[in-house]
Amino acid sequence: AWLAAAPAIIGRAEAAAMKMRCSSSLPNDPKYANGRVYYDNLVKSLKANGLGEQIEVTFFPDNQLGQEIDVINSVKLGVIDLMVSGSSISANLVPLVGTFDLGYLFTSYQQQTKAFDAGAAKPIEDALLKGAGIHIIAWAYNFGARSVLAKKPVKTPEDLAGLKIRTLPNPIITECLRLMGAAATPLAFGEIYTALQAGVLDGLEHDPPTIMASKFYETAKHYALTQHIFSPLAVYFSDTTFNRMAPKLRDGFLDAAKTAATDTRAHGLAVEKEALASLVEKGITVVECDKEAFRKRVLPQTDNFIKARPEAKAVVDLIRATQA
Amino acid sequence: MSVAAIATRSSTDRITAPLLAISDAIAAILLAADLVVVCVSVLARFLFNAPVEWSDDVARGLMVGSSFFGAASALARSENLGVAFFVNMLPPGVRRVVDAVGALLVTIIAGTVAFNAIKMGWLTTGQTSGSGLPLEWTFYPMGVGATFMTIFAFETLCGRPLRDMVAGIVVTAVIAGLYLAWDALAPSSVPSSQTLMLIGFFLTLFGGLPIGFALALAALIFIWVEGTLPGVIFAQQMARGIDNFVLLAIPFFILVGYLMEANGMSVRLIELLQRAVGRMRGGLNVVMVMSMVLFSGISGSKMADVAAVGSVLIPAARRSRQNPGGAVALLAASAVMAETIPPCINLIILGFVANLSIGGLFVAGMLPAALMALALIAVSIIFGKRPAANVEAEPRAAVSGLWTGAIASFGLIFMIFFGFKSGFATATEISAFAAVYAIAVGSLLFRELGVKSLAHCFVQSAVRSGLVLFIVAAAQSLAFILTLQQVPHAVGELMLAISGSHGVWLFMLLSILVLVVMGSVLEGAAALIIFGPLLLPVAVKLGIDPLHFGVVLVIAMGLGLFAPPLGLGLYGACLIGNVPIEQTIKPIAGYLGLLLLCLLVIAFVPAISTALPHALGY
Ligand code: NA
Ligand code: NA
Repeated sequence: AWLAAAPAIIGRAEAAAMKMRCSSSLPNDPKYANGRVYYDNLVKSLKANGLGEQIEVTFFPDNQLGQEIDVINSVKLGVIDLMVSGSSISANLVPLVGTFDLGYLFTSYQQQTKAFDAGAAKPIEDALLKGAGIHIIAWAYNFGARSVLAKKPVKTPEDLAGLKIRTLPNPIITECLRLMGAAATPLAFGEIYTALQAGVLDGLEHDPPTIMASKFYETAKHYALTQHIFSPLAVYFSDTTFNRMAPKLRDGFLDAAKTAATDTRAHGLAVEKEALASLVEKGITVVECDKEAFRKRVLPQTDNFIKARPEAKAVVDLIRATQA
Repeated sequence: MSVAAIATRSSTDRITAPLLAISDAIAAILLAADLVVVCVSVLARFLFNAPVEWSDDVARGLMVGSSFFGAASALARSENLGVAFFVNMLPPGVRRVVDAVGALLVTIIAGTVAFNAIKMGWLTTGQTSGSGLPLEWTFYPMGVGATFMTIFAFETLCGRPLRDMVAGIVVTAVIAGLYLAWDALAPSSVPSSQTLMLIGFFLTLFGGLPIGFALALAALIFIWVEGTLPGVIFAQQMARGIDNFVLLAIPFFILVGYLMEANGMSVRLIELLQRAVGRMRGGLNVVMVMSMVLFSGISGSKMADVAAVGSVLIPAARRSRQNPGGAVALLAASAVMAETIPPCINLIILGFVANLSIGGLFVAGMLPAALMALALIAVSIIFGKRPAANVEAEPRAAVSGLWTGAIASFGLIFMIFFGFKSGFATATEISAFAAVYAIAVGSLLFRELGVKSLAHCFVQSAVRSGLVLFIVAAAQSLAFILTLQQVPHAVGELMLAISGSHGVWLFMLLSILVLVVMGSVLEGAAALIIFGPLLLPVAVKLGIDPLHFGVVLVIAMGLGLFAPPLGLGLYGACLIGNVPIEQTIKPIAGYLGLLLLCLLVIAFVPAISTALPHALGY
């Protein structure tokens, strides 16, 4: 009976408003999940721009519309209009985006914003639009740098040697962890908790809010602040939708979307600190480690990447030239 | 097992017999390759500390390929499940036309899957998967498998008498033409795409179209009528519905089930139980319940368990002059009871779609299953008779190595339960080693598993899991459409509102009702895929433990699956026991009533499900 009633429930929406679909792979958590935080900010700034009645954005958290690789393809096809996700996923479409996953490329998120303001992301944005029909409306931060949570304290590359550390199934991040000394182990996210518990894994690399939200602190107790990757959060926007919008409406929308990203950046920095403090409360030891030793070992990765993709050189040079 | 058989000829006299052999071989080889990839990757990680980075991607890709070829083979053999209850009531002339329409629709749907999968492969060329492998590798094998499916479906259509075939095509064309004319003449009065999708879904489902195809057709009707979604999104969602590492446990545990039967473990286990408790009051029934407990503790496939136990014990019931209808009813009831005994396909699927810990669900299901098993055993003893004296006169097949066999079987259960606690592999990966163990035991210990029967096991498992996973894939394509329309959201709000005003107990009862009814209408897995993610968040908001709620959903779905008159599981059990369904209805009503009582106890005493997982740290 509910299926029959459903069209009536849905059909109530105003016909005049432009409808958009916004997807995120993270849970519907208004504090720790960057997708939801961005969505809330977007709704707020659309209202501030007087577009609350004209644009109606529906939020789909928790991979409801498919895994990230499908969602980014759906953005390309115009089925999904907006996607909030890390930069890594679009490297599967346009390999140049993988530049941002290189280990120890950025020194902090603030430095990243300075570099992007100076135009460091422009070649990548252009390549993504040309290669996949996807705009990046704005960059924000993942909620913290990726660091290593392990069952034993890790201070030096020697401490990391041989430890099975779960990485994102992404060749650049896997290579980074291997260069740092770990036995990099790509594993599906859903298997991490039990794999840690059973000892299949010795640890994982992730940002503090994710470790907090997924309760990984229950099974591994030492968080080494390796901070090897500060990859940005991207707000992806379909070119199909871009072309479908009247220019005036579009300008108002893009402005609101950019403001929402700025708000999300501020929230991200605050939440990273807060999550780290909560982890300590939960009994995690935060380990200050020899970042310089790790950085030196990972350096050849960037050189090899530039050799393979010379167009990445301008991006890397501009980032390296930017002071924090 | 063909419930609503659309095909009329047997698989041997087909023109496409060589194609069927190729499809079988590809499905089995991809499954075997998958087993090798998973085992090698675990060993490389465990022994040499050298994780294989691409293994996850390759294993998933092989599974998608194997599933579509397996589903194609299943279609060629008319093994697809459909609801036969209503079409059986039609007059023969009408029935033949309905079947012809069904055969035509299956051809069109399979062709659409093939076309869009290949187009999606072409569109994603140049893109990479997580580990950097070409993304199109997922879509091309799926497209070729679906092409095989289309050819088999077309041949089945052509195998019908010319008059029926023409009638089927005309009826389908008239329906499509009427819609197009309506849409052209009075577009504002045409029902919404959701309404048409629902009408199409229930009409074809009750018209006997195999479940997977009815689900896929519903998604397609929406895409066709609504007009803005590209067809490739349909193929994308079908592929992703099963492109998940966790689901690999399904083909592997199904394989374990078939291997156990082929390697002689099944026979030995049942024989041992019969010697132990077979002679007590209601002994044969007790043996049946206990066999189902043990079998479902080893294999992941309910139908494999029912087949293994039923094919030994139903003839035994006949010999001891018991009512075979009653025996089949108890077999079906035991299958419902075993629904939550790990490893269990439906718990894996629920864990996957609702993002719950599969290990946690496995543990949570054990005490509820024990409660139901005790209830069934108690009833068997109370209402049972002593076995007739003449049974002892029956010659028993001499089985060598009874104890060795039993110990080997328990070794398998031990390995599954404690294997992943040791840090060797994840729960999913253990399923692969369980299959390797069954192969090793069968060929080395019992010497009953030859190369030929091993190959046969792989073909059977690939076909059977292809059947299950095709339904999962099709359900995902429909679930995607419903999600785009925000149906889950709307239903969640509605259920929250109802429970807010009447209490959590009402929500629990409504959920049980929905799953019993939908488990009966849809094949179990599809009901879980659509309703699991929809009800679980509401349950959590109401303060119900998600593992507890998950177990309740799976048992409720199992009750529906075996409930007359629609339940497909009951049809399967009847086919295996060779008993007409009418003979089982009275006894199964009693057993299902008892199990429903148990389910209510489980639903309203959360500790039965949550005590064990909490104690073990889930
Ligand atoms: Na099982
Ligand atoms: Na089971």
